[in-house]
Amino acid sequence: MGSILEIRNLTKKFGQFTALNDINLSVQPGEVYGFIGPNGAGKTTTIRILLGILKATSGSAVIFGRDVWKDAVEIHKHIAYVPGDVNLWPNLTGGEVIDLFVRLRRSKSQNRKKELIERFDLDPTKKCRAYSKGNRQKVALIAAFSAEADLYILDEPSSGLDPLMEKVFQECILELKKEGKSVFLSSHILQEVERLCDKVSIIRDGRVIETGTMQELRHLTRTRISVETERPIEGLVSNPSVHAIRRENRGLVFAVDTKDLNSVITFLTGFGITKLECSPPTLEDLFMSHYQNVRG
Amino acid sequence: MFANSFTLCRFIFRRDWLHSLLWFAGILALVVGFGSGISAMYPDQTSLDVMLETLKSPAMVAMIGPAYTNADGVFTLGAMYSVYMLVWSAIIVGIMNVFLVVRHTRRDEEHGRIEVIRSLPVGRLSNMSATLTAAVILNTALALLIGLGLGAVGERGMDYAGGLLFGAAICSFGLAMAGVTAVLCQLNKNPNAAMALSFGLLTLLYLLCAVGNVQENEPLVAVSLLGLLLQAKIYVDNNWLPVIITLIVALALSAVAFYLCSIRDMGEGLIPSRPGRNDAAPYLKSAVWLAWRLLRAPFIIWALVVPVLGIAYGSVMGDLEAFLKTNEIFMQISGGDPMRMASFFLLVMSICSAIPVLQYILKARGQEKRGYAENILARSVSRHSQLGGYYIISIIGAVIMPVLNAVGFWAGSATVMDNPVPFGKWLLGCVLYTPALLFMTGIAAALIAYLPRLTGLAWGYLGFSFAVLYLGSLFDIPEWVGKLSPFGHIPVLPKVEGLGATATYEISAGELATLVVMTVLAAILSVLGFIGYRNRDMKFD
Repeated sequence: MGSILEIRNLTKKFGQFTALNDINLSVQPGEVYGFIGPNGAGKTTTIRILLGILKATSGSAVIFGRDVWKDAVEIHKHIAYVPGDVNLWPNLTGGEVIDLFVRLRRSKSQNRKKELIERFDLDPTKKCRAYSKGNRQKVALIAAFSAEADLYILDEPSSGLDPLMEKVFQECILELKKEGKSVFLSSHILQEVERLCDKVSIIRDGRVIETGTMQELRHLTRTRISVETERPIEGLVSNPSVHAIRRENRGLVFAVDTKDLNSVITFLTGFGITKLECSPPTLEDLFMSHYQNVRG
Repeated sequence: MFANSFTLCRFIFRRDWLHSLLWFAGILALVVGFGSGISAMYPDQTSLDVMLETLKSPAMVAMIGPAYTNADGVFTLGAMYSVYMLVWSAIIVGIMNVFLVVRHTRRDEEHGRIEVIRSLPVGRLSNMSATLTAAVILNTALALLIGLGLGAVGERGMDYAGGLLFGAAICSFGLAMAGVTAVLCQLNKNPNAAMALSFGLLTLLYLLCAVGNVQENEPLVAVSLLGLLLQAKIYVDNNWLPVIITLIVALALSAVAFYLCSIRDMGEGLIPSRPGRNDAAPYLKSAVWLAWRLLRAPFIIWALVVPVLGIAYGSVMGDLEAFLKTNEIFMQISGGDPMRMASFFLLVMSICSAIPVLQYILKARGQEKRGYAENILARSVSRHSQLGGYYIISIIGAVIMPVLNAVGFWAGSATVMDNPVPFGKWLLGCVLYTPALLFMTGIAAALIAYLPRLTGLAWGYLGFSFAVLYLGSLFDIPEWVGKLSPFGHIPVLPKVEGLGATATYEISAGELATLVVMTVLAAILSVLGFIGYRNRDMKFD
């Protein structure tokens, strides 16, 4: 079976402004795909094109082998979506909105609604006017997870949730993963992407600047090392694979290109290591390095 | 309690300056514009005397209020201007004030903006006092500009004293509406409910004024405020007392609003909100039904308001009948076509019916703009059904509202006429406007598709239709200007012979063709609208 979602050379212009510039990516069945980037990078625009809400200027976007613009209605029968900014009708209750959303997908499974309302701890009898941002987010999430979809498109879905609810959300995603569903998750919460996603694309200024599995992307990055030694360390500054050295407490903190980890540690042992901390690169580091590269 | 009100008030002007400027320009163009043209339209006393006979008709008394003459029994140009312009100008200024107050109190509160403001060193009532101060400043400035404008134009006998009183009269009514709206905003946390209640009250005041004036019922006239202000007899007696009373009413209402605001919690209404439904009603299962769910309340409200308007206007028909029997001059100037006055009512009612018709279809754009439509389109719903729900309800409105007009008008007129006109004839007179209403829906659909950020133009077009056809009936606006509006093409109760049960009319082939062409144009605009909506990006705010 081919990809669930395939974007090729996608470009979107708003007047003179190029919001998306030649985007390519593909999501395989059963994959949880992370889509990360700073605000205004083009994440939401990409998702709105995938949903047939915006029309691509050029390039193609295909879900389940169908064109996202022409066959939107058909595709949406098998998609669940959570928008980044959940706007709900102020005079409908949360319960009404969830029911409406489930019915609009023409799926009949109602049984999960009650269970999810309990898990997310939502009062469905309140009018949406009275909900906080987090509660509106819950309404959208409950509606999405109630759906028996094949692809879940989630646009910064956990923004506004408290840590407890964030955990419930992550559990729901991992359950979907177990069931073999595909998820397209846009986020700027990096721990979330790190924990949930198999594959990641980084978008900045409307361009995808990096794509790969979490494993592959880590190779491109540096390891953060915090070290204390018996004798003062000399000659580290001249090592080309060591970056951003600074003094902290009685030792040094720096980043090292992961491929040169072995030689740097060997070098350090010569000064008598008393304390060594090695932290794996977070997506934050990865992201920051790209952020700076592209800017510079 | 009121700390920093002045700073907040300046902030209101910073946010609103363009908005206020457009309102000012519109109102001044209407009020001063007609003030400057009136002398040429009524060049001598004879033309004014003829007009006086028309204005004595109960139909005109209901529509605009009673005409008055000076101590020598002369109907002056100033009196003509003031009686013709006062009520409707005051209503327009009232609408401006309702929007102003709702926008800066309840609407801001709903959007959480007041919360941010209240976290700063401002008092609990500062926002309310800033809003009402802004209303005072705006209305005072508008009154002065109108007074100076009318004075500067200086048509025969229209002096600064009268001009300023005219400005003060309509703007004092504006302040009273600001006060009422401020009170109504405290009741419920829903800004739309506050807006609907305020406009409902404004309609009620107008109907009280109409019925009170026709029946010469003093208490009704006084309560309506609009009727009270007419008794200022501007340009003749220049009586300031009604303006002072109106300002006292405005002050009292503001005090009530301050009190109610001080005893409620922020974000809440005095009427607590009840828990709603746990599940959606079984019918709520498609985009079309969602449109109905969202428009249900306004649909029911308009389905009640429209016949009430018909009853109020219809109840004037008895007086009109008696008036026609005794007034030969009027028979002459109306060219032996006495039903022209009744058809003027039908025109005004039909234009009012276009308000809900436009409101229903334009809701589609509101849903898109606020991001609600995204929720729907992300599910298995086509663009056609998303727009279609609002479109269908608008079309149903365009078909039903004229029938309701006829029902109300018939009910109102049948009880008071010696020789009632049968329902079927009123029905025909009202239903003739359906193609014009369908055309308005078509225009709105096309705007939503091709100029989504300028859908307000549809309201402008309706306002233009009202201005040229309402004012054009008395002022000599060239016929082609009226023809720019769909309502200007509708045959005006054609070929009427006699009044009462004997009245007969038929539609000529040419008129029928006009109606068919208009319906076809409405259909073409609609189809283009649906095609355009299918093929464009959704546009968010």
